Amino acid sequence: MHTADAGNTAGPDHDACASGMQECEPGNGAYPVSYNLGWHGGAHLIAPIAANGHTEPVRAIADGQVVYVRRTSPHGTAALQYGNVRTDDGCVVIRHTTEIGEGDGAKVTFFSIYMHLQTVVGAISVGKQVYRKDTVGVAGHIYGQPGKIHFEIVCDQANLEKLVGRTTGPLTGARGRTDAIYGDIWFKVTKGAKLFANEPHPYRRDDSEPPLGPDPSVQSQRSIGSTRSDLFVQMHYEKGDCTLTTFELGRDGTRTPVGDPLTARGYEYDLYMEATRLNAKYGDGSTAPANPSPKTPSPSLIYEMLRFGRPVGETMPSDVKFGHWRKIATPEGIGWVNLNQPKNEGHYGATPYPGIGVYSDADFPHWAGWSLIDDDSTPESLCNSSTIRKWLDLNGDGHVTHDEAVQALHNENVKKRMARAICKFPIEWSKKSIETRWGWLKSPHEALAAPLSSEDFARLKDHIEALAFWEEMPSDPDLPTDDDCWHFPPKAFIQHFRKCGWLSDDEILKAFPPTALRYQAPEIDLGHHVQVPGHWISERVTPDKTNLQKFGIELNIAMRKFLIVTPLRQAAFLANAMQETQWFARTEEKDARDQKYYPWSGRGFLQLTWPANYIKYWRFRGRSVDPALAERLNQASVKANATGINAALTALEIDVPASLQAWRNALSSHPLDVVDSAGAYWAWSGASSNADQPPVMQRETEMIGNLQKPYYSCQSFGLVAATVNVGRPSTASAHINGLQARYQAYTAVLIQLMDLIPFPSANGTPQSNPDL
Amino acid sequence: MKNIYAKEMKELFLITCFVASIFFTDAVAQKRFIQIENSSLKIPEKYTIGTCSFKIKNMFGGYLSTYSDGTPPVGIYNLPATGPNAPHVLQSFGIYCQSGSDNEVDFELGAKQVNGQWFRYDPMPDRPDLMLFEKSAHPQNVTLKGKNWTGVALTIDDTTGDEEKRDRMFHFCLIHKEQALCGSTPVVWLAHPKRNELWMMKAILQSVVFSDPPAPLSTSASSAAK
Repeated sequence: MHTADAGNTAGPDHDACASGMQECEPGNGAYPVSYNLGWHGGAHLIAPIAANGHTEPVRAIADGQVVYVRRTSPHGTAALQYGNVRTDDGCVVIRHTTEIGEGDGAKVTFFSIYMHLQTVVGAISVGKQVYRKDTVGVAGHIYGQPGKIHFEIVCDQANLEKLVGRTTGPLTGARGRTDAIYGDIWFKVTKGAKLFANEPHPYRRDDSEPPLGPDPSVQSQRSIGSTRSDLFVQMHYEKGDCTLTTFELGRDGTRTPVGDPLTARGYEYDLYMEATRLNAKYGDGSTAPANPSPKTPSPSLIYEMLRFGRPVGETMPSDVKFGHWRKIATPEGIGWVNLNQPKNEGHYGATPYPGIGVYSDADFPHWAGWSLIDDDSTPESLCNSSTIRKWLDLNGDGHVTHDEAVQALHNENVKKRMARAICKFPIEWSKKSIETRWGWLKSPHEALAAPLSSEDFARLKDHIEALAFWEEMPSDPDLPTDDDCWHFPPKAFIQHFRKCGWLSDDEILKAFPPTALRYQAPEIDLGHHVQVPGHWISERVTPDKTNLQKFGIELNIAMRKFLIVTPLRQAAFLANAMQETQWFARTEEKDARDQKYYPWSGRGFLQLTWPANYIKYWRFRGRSVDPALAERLNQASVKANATGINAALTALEIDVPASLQAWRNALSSHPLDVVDSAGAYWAWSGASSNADQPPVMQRETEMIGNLQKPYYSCQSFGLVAATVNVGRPSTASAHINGLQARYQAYTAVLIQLMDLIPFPSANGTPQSNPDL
Repeated sequence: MKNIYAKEMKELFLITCFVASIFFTDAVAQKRFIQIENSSLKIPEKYTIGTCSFKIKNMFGGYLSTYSDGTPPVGIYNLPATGPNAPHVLQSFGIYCQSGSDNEVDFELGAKQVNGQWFRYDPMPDRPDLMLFEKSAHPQNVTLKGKNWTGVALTIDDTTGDEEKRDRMFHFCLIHKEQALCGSTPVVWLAHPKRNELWMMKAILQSVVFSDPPAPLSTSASSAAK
């Protein structure tokens, strides 16, 4: 799922959210309660001012279908003049159905509500398909204040369970969900975990156990302590580094950092190397004589352990010992802790571990600040949640007065909690039972500044009724009922799902470029005369949907595994995969029988080529290849490359076992191998480091007949394309096959996945959309 | 990815040296890999891909491997890449088990036949599902006959990309009751049209015989047995 925000400008890293969706202050339309403790299902947002002086338009936060439209009523409508000031009633509701992971449990539906629009775009109508960033309207007035909207995200109970992974209370499962994994990885380290001063051997899950032999790496190490309370360790990968931050959770639910975050520079970019380094320790003789040939986890399995903290696509065999040793801060000091201690599992008859649970942001952990608030079962819109009231009760006297609520809602700790509170309460937009929901405003109440008179309440009731529409929504099995509705904090929802990175088939499909440039070589006759000069052709791109459907799940799984999870990395990876596979149509190189590397020709999403790359991938996956055969293939490759003829490689084919030939074929047809091989290549070639560079788009043109066809080059992406195509980051673009088409694909994916990228126009001025 | 030779050769050498030192350790092949290995070496009487069970002949030096790991499950018909029996155009191809509903089959083929004419089938929410093929795509119906299935198949010529590398793709679905075995593979390089290996594909596919799983004991039968 990919989300944009509802009408804001771009900030650092072209991320609108990073600059902060401009929410109104508490007491002025903030989520989820007002000063009076009335539930408020959304947040009032302030429309930013564009360069032309007008407010930025309101945009759809994600792809979806319009399910409700109300065009703005004319000025003078009495019910919209509550308090003698204008409130606009233009409204659009979009139904979003998308995927946040694998399987039916990760297919989710939610609704976004854009209320108080001054204008609804004419093209927006019920049933219309809209796409992320499409304009839906212009921000209107809220109680006389211009340039504002009410923005709300709701879902029903069934979809809450899919989105959050639970429907009530804190996160208590022994382990996190695996159908959806995104964002940071979290370890719940139960008290009693041993700390060691030096990095233990991965074959040792407790380094105080007896030595395995004379090798220094397998000696017993005295524990420097053990954790005395439950700790929460956040593992964050970003821009090449890995940062581990430890927290303690107080009794009141607040978390406190323990020590300083520990950042391992370059750990992320080197994750493949680290996995192979640890794998090699099982075969270097260091565990002899106690166990000279231990069962060895494959590098791919170790990679998953380092990436996810647990096996996800791979399986950890019961007879494999793997200690996931990481250096963390604890109240007892900094030390190495084995983070692979599943609950109730020991090893080789050892005492079962008390357990380290592994989760991700997809589990909405309470220790990351998330709360599920469902303790208000009353039908009224007065917040009766004891949880919320406890947060607001600053003096702890069991009461929340109006003044206390005002003060508490501006308290930074309270604001943090409110900003991640997912709350169940009646929808604001129902015409039914307005008296029941809002009648409390007529009576004195400790949090109410002053009760409303009957006349004022009647006017308010008319106003609420004028804005209400829930009963006009079309019948929909996923639509929450008016009295059974879950509300998400809008800004946090968008920020959270930006980390998701799981792309539905439709989202990938939309990321293909409409056309691609191709250079047609000159036609030369037998007399070496140029009959037709070389020229550029612009061809329509037709993505292969059948293959997208076949490979889509594994594509997402591979991107997740190999940390191709940011829009920039996904754009660089997908753009290359699109071009290399002829828009997903071919996962095996065409007509390669005369190529010097045949039969080790291009296969998979990044077209692995030459025996060396195939063997490297198979070894990553834990598949044995006879070293003698590998060496013979190596020598044959040298010969083939020198002569330009594949005779040496084809002659060896008779000695290549059927199992290896089948593995080779699997790289073009087996969905897992097709994309996992591409992800592994991406990882070992270090492509992410260039993909992470902010893209600077340069307008270029090629002549198509008599017309100039624009496209956008990008130096950082060019380095990724070279890494993929020629094996190293190179600026020699002439060597990169189909570079212009790769640039066009990159541009198309960027538009789909990023918020705003400046594309220079023909005269050099930046514009939000590229010239195509 | 092609011209990676120098760097990779160096890496291969280093890896080879390294692996030589660990080759005789008892490295763990994961469960899924063991399945792959076995599947390529054995030729069971009956193959299963997802919910499709069937037999298929080993022809032209080829054989089927099935893989249940990954999503979706797949069968790969392995054909020799070199030697006297190696086809010139055909590549080892994947076979997938799908729903046999009209829409699913049309989606698999990327085409739908209406009144004898093939259209590109491209379901999108905001435009018509059917579109005319480009003239040079030459969609051609292919007749496939099987023992207990109905074949729907066609060839479509490439219309874009390097003209020297364009191919004629053969798309097929073998429909048996609610299921279909589908796949695609090139059968002609358009730059060398005289070499057409569609006949080989037809021969391989026409050897397919679906086998239904044994019927579960009915409630009445099990009740009667009590």
